Amino acid sequence: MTKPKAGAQSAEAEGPDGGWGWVLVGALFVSTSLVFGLMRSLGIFFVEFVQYFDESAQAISWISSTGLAAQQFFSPLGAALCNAYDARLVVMTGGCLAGLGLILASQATCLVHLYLTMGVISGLGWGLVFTPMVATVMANFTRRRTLALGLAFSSIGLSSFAFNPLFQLLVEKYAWRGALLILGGLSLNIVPCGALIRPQQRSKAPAKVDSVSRPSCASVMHRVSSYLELSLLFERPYITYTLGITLLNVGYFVPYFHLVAHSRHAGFSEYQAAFVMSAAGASDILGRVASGWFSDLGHFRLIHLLSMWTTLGGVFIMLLPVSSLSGSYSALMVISLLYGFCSGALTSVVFAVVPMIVGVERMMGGLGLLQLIESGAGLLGTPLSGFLKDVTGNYVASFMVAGSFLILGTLTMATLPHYFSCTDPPPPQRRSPDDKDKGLHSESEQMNSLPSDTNHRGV
Amino acid sequence: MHPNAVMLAVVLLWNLMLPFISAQNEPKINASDQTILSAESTSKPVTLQCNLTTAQTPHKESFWMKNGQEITNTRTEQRNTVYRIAKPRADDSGEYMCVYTFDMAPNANATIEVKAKPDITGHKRSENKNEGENAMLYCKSVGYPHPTWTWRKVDGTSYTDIDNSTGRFFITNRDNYTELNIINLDINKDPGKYECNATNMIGNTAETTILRVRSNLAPLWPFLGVLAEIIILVVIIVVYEKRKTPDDIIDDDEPVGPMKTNSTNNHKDKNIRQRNTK
Repeated sequence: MTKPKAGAQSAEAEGPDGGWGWVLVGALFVSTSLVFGLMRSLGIFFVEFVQYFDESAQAISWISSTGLAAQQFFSPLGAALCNAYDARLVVMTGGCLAGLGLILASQATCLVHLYLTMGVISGLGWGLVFTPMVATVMANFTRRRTLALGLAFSSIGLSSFAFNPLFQLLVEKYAWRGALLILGGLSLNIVPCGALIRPQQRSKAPAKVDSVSRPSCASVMHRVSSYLELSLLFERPYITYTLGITLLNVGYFVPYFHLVAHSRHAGFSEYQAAFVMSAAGASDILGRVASGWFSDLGHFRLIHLLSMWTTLGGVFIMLLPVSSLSGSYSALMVISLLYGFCSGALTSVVFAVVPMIVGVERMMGGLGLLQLIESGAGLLGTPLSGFLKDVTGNYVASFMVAGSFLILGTLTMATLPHYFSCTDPPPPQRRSPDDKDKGLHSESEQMNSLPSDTNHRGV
Repeated sequence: MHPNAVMLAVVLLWNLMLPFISAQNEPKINASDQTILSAESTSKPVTLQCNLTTAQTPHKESFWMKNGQEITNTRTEQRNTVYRIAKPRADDSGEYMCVYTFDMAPNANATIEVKAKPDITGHKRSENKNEGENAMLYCKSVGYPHPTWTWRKVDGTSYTDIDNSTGRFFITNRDNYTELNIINLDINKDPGKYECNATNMIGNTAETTILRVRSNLAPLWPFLGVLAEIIILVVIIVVYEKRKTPDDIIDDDEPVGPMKTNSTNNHKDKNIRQRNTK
């Protein structure tokens, strides 16, 4: 398949930094905006739902919670399917499901229908789209990986800006049923994005399957667990990193939910509070792209940059209530801008660190599992901050706790092996099951390994 | 003179005198005249005054009532009682009464009317409904005397009365509230501007509401358009790829140029495994 090269490196390892990769960045841009940008702008429909179905706002907000939870829950499934089959097919299927969920939702007659369609079906579709696309883009870049991710993720902020007025227009013109129908059609745009993924030249299936072709229960289980990369759950670096990101996620979303309310609480007008939020959103977009570009300059290790952004983000979150205590609007604005920049900056880097830890090959499964595990944090963080606010009467405690969770995440990541060295350790090398059992290195791995590091598994 | 004529004259005179005699026993209240609030003089305060001029028994206290309900904090023991409206608005208009209570006699009162042009305080600016649904347009007003309501359809500058030949229009009027219900909306005839008009003896005001009727099939067209765009895109992408020779696709996987070894990021990535060499 490949020409013999010194060290028998695979094509995906160094990756063509550019060319078709940038087309995939554009595809990721569009699909991310149709997944997360759309999720963030559903608030306009919720107002209509409350009125039409005569339900409480909390019952309606469960729709987006279900959608987000489904997206994260089905991420490992999407990753596993990509490992087993073709990423292109998985993403196109995911796009169809996402669109189908919204189209069916336009015919809903009760709230449960919305949970099932907009929540479960669309969430399943989104889960099948996001992780595979991110992993594919990362596989197509090496040097410019973080920049590519930063550019693609900036779509979330930009599309939130664009979708809010667009959805408002659609709802006014076509009523929420018609608007959902059209949105379903727009979501189907993920399908051409998925079609842009080149068909895989290599498939992970042959590598992971024993030579035995007769399906037995044990071998099927083995295959499934290798597709899901469940072995990652037993590796300390991966677990450490996942734990750190989970702690980060507990506090990460708190300002998005509570900043506006906190600003109003501090005495600023509705318009000023909304403007603070918009400013944070704008600096978020800037942070994603800037951090992506800066990380790829290579001056610092990605993990160090991630720790820096996370710590700064935590500090700024903790400073948010302090700045508004003095009653100064400009102080609140400055801290919010800084917070937005840091939170955007860290999102670009979070995913790019995964291949550093698990290797490009297992990146797909690693991302899926990461999404699944960090989903719990998101579900925990916002109710916790709401509870703290109810108990203490203001948002100071919520923000303090949220910021401290980010700093706790950084400290957890500091326990990663080789954290304090100035150069990246080589990522772990995947050995075939036979080798693992017998403790042998495959020939290629011997050629690939550096003199000092031959085995990073389980460190 | 004839005795019957004398008796008749006495009875007539007595009947004529009776109101005056009995009036001597009733308390007399001197009240200010009715006031008309106009929209322009809202800054001029309005003062309502009642003075108990004669009374057989001393009065206990006095208070003010508006539209049949007592106004709080107006009870005093003075004979001359004043109610002041500092910044009169339309909803300050109404039927005011100063009431005097007595220990041994029934209450005495005097009514002062404060009238104003009706002011429409609530109405919908627009109503968007789907074909076949029901629309509800309403107008709320404040002001006394209570207005009479009329609904009209506005077309540019011309006004037309509502044509209820189809029997789908229902108007409900109450004192300060009116409702226009249209059932089974017709997309051709019903959309447009509807005006509610409140008229009383002082003046009238009106407000318009825009009624829009959405077609049930309207969203289908953009949806089909988006579907067509997606199908075209997918076909283009797949066909473009099929037309490229398989060699071209393999070539893309190969590194474009010399290994970029000066960056620490990918330095170790190159050492990633090669699984089964084919």
